Amino acid sequence: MTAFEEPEPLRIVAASLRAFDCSYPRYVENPPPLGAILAVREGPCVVFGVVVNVESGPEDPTRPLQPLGEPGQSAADVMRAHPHIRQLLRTRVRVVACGHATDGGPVPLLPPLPPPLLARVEPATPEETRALTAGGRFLPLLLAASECDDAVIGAAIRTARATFGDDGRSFLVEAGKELARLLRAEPARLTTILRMAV
Amino acid sequence: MTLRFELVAEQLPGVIARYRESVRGAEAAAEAALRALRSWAADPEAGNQRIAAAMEGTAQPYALSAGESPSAAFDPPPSEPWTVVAADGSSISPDRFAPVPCWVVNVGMVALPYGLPGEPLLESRPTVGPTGAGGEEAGDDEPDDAAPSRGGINLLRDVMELEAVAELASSRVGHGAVIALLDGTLFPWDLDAPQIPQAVRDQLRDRTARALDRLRAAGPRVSLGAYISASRASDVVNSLRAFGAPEAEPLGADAVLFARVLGVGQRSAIFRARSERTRRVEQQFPAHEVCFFYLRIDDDLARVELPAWAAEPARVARLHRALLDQARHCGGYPRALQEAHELAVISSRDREQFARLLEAESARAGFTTALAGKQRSKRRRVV
Repeated sequence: MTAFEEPEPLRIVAASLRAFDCSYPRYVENPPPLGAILAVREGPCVVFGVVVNVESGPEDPTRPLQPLGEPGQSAADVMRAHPHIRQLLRTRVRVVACGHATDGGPVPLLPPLPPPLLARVEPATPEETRALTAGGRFLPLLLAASECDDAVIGAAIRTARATFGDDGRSFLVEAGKELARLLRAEPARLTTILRMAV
Repeated sequence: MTLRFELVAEQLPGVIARYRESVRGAEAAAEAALRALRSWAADPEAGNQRIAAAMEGTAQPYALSAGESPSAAFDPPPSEPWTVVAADGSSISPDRFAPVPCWVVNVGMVALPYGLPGEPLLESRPTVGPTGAGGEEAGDDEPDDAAPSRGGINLLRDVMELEAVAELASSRVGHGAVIALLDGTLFPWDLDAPQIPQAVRDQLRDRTARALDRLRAAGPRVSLGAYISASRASDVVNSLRAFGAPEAEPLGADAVLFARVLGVGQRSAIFRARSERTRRVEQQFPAHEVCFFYLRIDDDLARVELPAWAAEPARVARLHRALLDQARHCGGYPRALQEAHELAVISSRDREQFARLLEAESARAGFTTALAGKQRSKRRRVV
């Protein structure tokens, strides 16, 4: 089992310097959540990123999923009654890059190259997450990414805070200061993100 | 120029009108056939003897009662836990323009457990040949001589489908009951096709026999059915004509008769298939005599073929119910067969890609063929 408690790995199926798409070979119910910080440990450097979207649906877009199931049946009941369905669906995860590590620890800079296609994608460790996010250093890359809306940034801050344990409040204050610096021209947006981050 | 639909459309009404004329006598024929079927049911064994005597020496297929009353209709039993396995195939025949003679058989394999352990399986398995002696799939009897023959590849594909179903059934029977499904007829009928070299047919006959033996050896928990949707077979109608109802002839197909006998979800009695061709093929598999029944799924009358050893009441009951369950949410066609087909199909794009890959790999090995005029013209498509 991977760290996402799924029996099969999440792998990269498309990649650029700023973002990468990942997919499971079937439908899963427990993919990495919004704002999760992930790591790709294959290739010339470790690439870190934040989950900005998760979607599930048919692998073949010409075969849409029918609303199967009897009244009273849960999704799990329907999946059991139609065991082919899970195999024909895919869960995909979109990740925006927010740092990388070569020989030293993580740095909040774009990687020099995209992560390799078909590389496995795993959760960043708490140590990696703390090193990457301390002082809100990872926020400039996220704020510059068009796919990172306020909800994504709020979720990423919450994810990072959870790894700081008792120092979570200090992390939050420093991240808030960094946000204030970056968004001094957008006070309304700053307020929205801060409300979503706590 | 593409198909000119304005010219096509104006010709269609005439075709439909002529068809209407041809089926005008179907009502009376159906009534006559029903009366004959009930008469046969009164003494099936005597009816069998009368039919067999009348059909002796004819080339037409016919049916004999296999023990159940020929006019009977059976309701489906309740569902049970089981695993449904299925296989279907698609192939690329050798292209005479290709630099190296080469074929592909792609077999879609499906195993869907319902209430039983085991992971669902949806997988396709391509084989590229000729594989040479000792090919991984075929063992030492790979029919490499079949390479130049389209018919040989079709026959090989049918055999590989049967082998895949036997493999799947054997691997799942340890978990409980297995419903093993094929698309089409039970026997690969090209086994008696004279255009395929005898040596190839002999090899594939042996492989067919081994697959059928393997299915039989898997024991009474395996139900086996070869499914033919919208069957146009006329074995029973031919038998009724031989039985003394010549007015049944305009029916054309057994499905027209059994649409009147069977309610939705019901199956017919089991019949034994008889014909000169059946005899020629069947004599190669004396342990696997072909039986069949009809199954009504909504408006579709499907013919389900099975070997006589699988025509036991418990196996047939499971097959009957499983086919209905499978078709329920799949547009009236068994889900496992549908998914096997989806996995097997080789699209026109795949075919083109394979041709280019073969050309590239052949060229790397020093085999190049100047494109023939027709082939070159098709590829360029310039004005």
